[in-house]
Amino acid sequence: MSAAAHLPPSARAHPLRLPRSFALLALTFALPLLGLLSPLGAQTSVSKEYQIKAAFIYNFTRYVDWPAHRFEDEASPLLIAVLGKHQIEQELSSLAKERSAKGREVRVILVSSVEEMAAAHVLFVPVGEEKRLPPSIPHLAGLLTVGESTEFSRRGGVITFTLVADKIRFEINQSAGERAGLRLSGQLLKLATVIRKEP
Amino acid sequence: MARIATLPRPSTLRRRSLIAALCAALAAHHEVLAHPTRAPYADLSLEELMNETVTSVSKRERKLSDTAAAITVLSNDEIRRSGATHLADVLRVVPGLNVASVSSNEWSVSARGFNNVFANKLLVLVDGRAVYSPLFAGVHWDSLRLVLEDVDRVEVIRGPGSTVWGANAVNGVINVVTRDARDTQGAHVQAYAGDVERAGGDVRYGGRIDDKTYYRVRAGAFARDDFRLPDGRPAGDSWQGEHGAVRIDHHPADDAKLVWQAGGTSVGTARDATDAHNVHTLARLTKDWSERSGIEIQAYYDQARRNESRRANTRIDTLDLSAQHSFGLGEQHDITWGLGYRHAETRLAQNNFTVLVRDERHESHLGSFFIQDEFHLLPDRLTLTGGVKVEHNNYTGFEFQPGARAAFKPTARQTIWAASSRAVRTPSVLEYSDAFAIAAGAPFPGPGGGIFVPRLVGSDDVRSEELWATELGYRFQPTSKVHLDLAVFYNRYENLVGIGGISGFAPGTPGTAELPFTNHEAAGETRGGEIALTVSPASSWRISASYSLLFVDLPGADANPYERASPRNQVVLRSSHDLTRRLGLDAQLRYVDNLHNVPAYLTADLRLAYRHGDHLEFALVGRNLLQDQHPEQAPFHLTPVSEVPRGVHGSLTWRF
Repeated sequence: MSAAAHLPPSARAHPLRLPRSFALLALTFALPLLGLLSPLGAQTSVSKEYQIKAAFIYNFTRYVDWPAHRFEDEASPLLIAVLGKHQIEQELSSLAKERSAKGREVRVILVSSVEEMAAAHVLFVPVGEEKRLPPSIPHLAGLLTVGESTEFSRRGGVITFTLVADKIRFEINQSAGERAGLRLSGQLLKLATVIRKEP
Repeated sequence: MARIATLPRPSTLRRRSLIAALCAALAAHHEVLAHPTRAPYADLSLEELMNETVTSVSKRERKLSDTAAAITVLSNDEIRRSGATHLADVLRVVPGLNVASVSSNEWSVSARGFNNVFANKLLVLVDGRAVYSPLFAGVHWDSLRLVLEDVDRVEVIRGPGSTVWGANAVNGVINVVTRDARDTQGAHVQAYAGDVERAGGDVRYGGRIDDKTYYRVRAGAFARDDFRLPDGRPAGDSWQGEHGAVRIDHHPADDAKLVWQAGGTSVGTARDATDAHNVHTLARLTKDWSERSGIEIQAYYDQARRNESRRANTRIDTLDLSAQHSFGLGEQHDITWGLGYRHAETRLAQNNFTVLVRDERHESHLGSFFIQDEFHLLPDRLTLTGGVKVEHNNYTGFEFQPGARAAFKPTARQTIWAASSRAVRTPSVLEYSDAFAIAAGAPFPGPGGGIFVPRLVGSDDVRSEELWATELGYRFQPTSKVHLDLAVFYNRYENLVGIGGISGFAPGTPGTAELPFTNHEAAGETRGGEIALTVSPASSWRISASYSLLFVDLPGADANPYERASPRNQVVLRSSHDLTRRLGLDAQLRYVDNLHNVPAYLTADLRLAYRHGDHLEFALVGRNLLQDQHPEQAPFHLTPVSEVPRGVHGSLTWRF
């Protein structure tokens, strides 16, 4: 016991080194990698959340009127764009094979630039991709923007998915819809949380 | 927000194995491949889609209003609007909890009695990682630097949580849950400056790796000014620190989730040369097989180093593995069971002659098993929960912690609950081992004429402290705007650890007169209750009031300082009001009854926030406004106390 007392009071730096703790550290660092093994091969499935969101997007097209000039003629397709690469594109594509929207064929594309977006009628902006949007969404006239984050809503998106308890709800920024030149039906507005927010 | 991981099924339980992790990962893989992809929701209407549930992981969580325990949940919004910069100060509004500043850099926090800087009966978990020190059996609040913006919620359970959380969840459990990286996307910059809260800042960036994997990185620093001596001079306890953290959330499928996080904190005080460093990393895999079954596997490593010139230099390395499995048995039974292992290695070095280090290295092994049955006797009306936790540690051996709870819902808006449980607090390294000899009085001439210093020493005779708790509660929500929560308790403690008489003399210059820790033969008891009422007159305004009452009877002639270590009466009034779309005002009034040698105080906090557009927020915060300064704790052994001054600071938050 007195041996310890001989240590100089200034011996503040810990004298102990622990090679074993590095092994432990490495172990917990490695653990997530094990888990990553499985999902790497599993990109073919779409989560329930995005299956439902894709169905929502299809439904939205029924309750929205685009300015007539956005379609060349009666036969031109309705274009749904997904910003960045996202699993929802698969689900939207398989829906597109099975059904039309507003009597038009549906095409689903992945986009990354403003030019590409401008051609679309619907643009889905996944969480984390908002920064690819132009600073001012209203410039994208005749485009129904659908997103899922407060960041998206903040940037002036038209429809934003929200999660209440464990169910999907949506918020509509009516002024954003008007600026985009879209007509949103009363039926749709009735189901949404309606806000009016200038950008 | 009213969903919590309940006692019956904590989302945060820990202890796991690598093999199980591998198996689960493979199983998750298999499950994903089997998932049908044929547009099953294509024909549903908007109304039908709005009825589909998407977060299956929450299925086994239950509503706050149904829980058979005294629980308070603080949401992210409430936490941010408190205006506090440290988690401990946020907790001041929780009924039944007593938070007292010891000095600028130390807090003591306890539920239902026994509060001092070495408060040892409250377990604190951050995302499933225990931040309870096995060395002194308590929490070092200074090195718990959480960025409050990232905290999703704080669940505070008063009363024992031992059936699930195990030893040391005696008087309560504080469970901090931080946000999923998916919910903290984008950049977030925050800075503040003021008098007591001198300056601080944080930068966060959240991004995505792919559509199933999100991350955030965060770094920050802070400096806090001196508190005050009773005569008003600065106490010289200012401190500062830095922290950083990274978190990755991977959602391979709806019913599986993998989280990895790592972080570090470094804090230090200038004057008495104390510094503390913590690094930790944690991984957790959650996988649901069905609505009623699933597994959770978790591993973490934590290293805490402290160099305290008043005490000693310490380092604790903890590795914790845990796994739990839930499943339904018939229609009425939900079973949860789990296994855990924790290894902790403590190393000590002496740095002064007040606290002698006698044994420099300690190792502890803790194995645990728990099982719990949630029996839905009358579905949606009466639920009985019974469970037991069995632990084995290498100094007190086996510990059994059984508990029974019942929740009865006479109507959909009312819950009556009752609980009875046994909890233990296992002795700390300080108490059971020959780690320290801590000077506890003036030197005196002893046998043989030598000079001896009376010193506290550990003793391997010390047994676990034991609690038998009985609780009753009632919750009533007459309308969606009014919520009433009432809880009463009777706690009987046995084998409380105290200090015995001199047991021996160890030679030396000076020698040591040993005062070993020992268990009190007589039982102690506490009684009391908490009542909380929340009213929301409008969606933009919430008012709440709470009152906590506590009586403590402890054994021993000199029990009074311990009996009055927590206040008998505590009242908190809060108002949280959005005056306009841009302007928010939060006010709270706190009354804390007197402690032994500490007068009662009444004080107020205010926060006024202005949102400029969606990207900027300015806030002006005043804390402890009603007096220049006030003490919250009495001086304790080796622990100088300073008084809390009035403080004002301004903050700026920028999101982009």
